[in-house]
Amino acid sequence: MGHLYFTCRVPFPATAWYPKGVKPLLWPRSLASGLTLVGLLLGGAAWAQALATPGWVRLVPPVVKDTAAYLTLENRGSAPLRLVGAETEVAQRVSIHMDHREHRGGQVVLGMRPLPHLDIPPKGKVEFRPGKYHLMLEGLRRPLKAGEKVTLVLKFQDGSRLKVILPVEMR
Amino acid sequence: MKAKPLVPILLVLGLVAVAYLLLPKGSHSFYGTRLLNPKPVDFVLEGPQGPVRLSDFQDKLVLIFFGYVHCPDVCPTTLLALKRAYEGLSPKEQERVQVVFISVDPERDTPGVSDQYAKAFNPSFLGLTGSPETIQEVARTFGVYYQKTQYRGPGEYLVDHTATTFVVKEGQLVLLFSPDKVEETEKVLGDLQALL
Repeated sequence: MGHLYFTCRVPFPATAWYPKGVKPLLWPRSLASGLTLVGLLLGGAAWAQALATPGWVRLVPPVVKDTAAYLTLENRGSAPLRLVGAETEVAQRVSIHMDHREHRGGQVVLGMRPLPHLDIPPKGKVEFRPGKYHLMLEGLRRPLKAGEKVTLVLKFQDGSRLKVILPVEMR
Repeated sequence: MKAKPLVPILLVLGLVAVAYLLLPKGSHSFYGTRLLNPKPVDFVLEGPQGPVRLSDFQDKLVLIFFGYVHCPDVCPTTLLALKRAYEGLSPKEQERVQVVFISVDPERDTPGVSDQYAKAFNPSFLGLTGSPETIQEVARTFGVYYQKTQYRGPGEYLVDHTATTFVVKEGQLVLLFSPDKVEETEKVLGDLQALL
């Protein structure tokens, strides 16, 4: 716990310093805030900055081929941030799901609905947690083990990516 | 004249004190939803080793949750809550409690798969399922709704389902926990111990 993951979208002149492919996925905090400062100085154009606070990947029984990943995603920038997907080596596909809740016969019926994308407003955050949103890791390539670390790459509409490392826990 | 307002106040205080003394001592106020008219329930479903009848557990408190295995968010959340509550009971109490997971997705979940799924939460949990017709009948008995959604192809769909935990004592449905309530382990434990 305690690790934060940033993407840093800065206006054009600053991004141009990094050739494509060389751009690191994970920015150390000091570097990220440094670049944010550069961005501010360079002209105040709107940008989105994603910050992820890790949650966990749910340990599921080995018979289950799907699991859920939880984290908090924050947009520290001044432009909307749109999450369009994610990928991980441990699953064939990752989809964004929102929990669905309705009442039938006086009781709570639960389910989930896939979302094509998820917007995080400027200065806003979205919590992926049980009963709210989750990233569904579909078609696990192998059973996960308690305590192992799963790397997830979040993909945003602006082309930026954010790598997050989540522990596998039974909770 | 000045002392007069004291009389009614003392009278009210006296009545409150009497009412308090008349309160039944030690009665448990249930956190889950208590059924005022307990409903007789029974079923025969398929377990990993053949048919299982609810009345086989006549002497136990049976906690029943309907779900499906390809459900990574809702079902584990409740099953983990049931695991916490079950593991909070003493070994003696545990002997008198049975947690049952019933898959409403018999197309994908065989009795074996349902049971392996349930046992991953606690080895004493039991996973059951049955033919689509039997599941439909059992669901109707408990007032459980389930519906396939987001159908992408055979074996690729989601299922919406009632996420209530049902508590059966001596063949009667006596208590319900909504998916929100079931997470309050301490309060669930209190209810279970009151029923044991």
